[in-house]
Amino acid sequence: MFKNLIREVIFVGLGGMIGALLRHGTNSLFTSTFGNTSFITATTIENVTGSFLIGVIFTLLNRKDSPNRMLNLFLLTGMIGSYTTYSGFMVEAFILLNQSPLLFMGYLFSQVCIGLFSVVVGMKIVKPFTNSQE
Amino acid sequence: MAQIFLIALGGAIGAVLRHLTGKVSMRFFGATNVYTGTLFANLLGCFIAGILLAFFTHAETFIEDTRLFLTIGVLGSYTTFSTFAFETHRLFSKPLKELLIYLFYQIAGAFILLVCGYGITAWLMRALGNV
Repeated sequence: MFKNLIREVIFVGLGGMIGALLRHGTNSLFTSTFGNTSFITATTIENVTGSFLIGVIFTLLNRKDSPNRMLNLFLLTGMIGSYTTYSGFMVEAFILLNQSPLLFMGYLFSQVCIGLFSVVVGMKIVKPFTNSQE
Repeated sequence: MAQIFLIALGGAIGAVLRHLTGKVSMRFFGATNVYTGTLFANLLGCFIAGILLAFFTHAETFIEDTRLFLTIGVLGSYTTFSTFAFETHRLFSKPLKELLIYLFYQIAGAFILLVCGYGITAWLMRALGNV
């Protein structure tokens, strides 16, 4: 039990470390390329690509009867979970609210919708590969 | 270089805390579609994000590395968008009521908590004469 928890912590922590670094890298790359635009931000890019990837990776990892739990924890909970962020998303929305309520609503609504859409696209894209396995 | 290390460390801590939040919520709420670990992590994370945002906006001096460690590292990893989108998608095949409750807590709830965290901290800092 305790040994299991230690293993989980190591896999999630390692994934989280990589995810946070990738997010920081995306932030730096985005700011140096596009500057500080107000509507599309680095957080938007991370959340949308991360949502796409969770659809892809979840579908691929869980196609078998006995999915690898540690790989799930490392890739999904750790890496992709850390790569995307909710606090950054909400903080940006909060800052936008000071500029215009319309921009604020648009930012929240569009990011949630596009994120959701990305999950579905991610799942659909790898679906053919999962069927051939059965 | 030190910044990279701090973000990596913060990211690992945030992810592990999120995983543990999931375990705790599992113990209290069981396997539910609405009251998930992701929901609680995002709610708590946004409240703390409000506190930190107010602090780092109004504080006269702070160490930039501390800000990076806490906001980009720990909180950025503790909260997550991908699982939120994933769980929302899963709720599409469940009763509409569950989906609406989940979205309400995640979006309105998290935002209100962020504003509360920000407001309380900004007020405290003014009252205490800006530390």
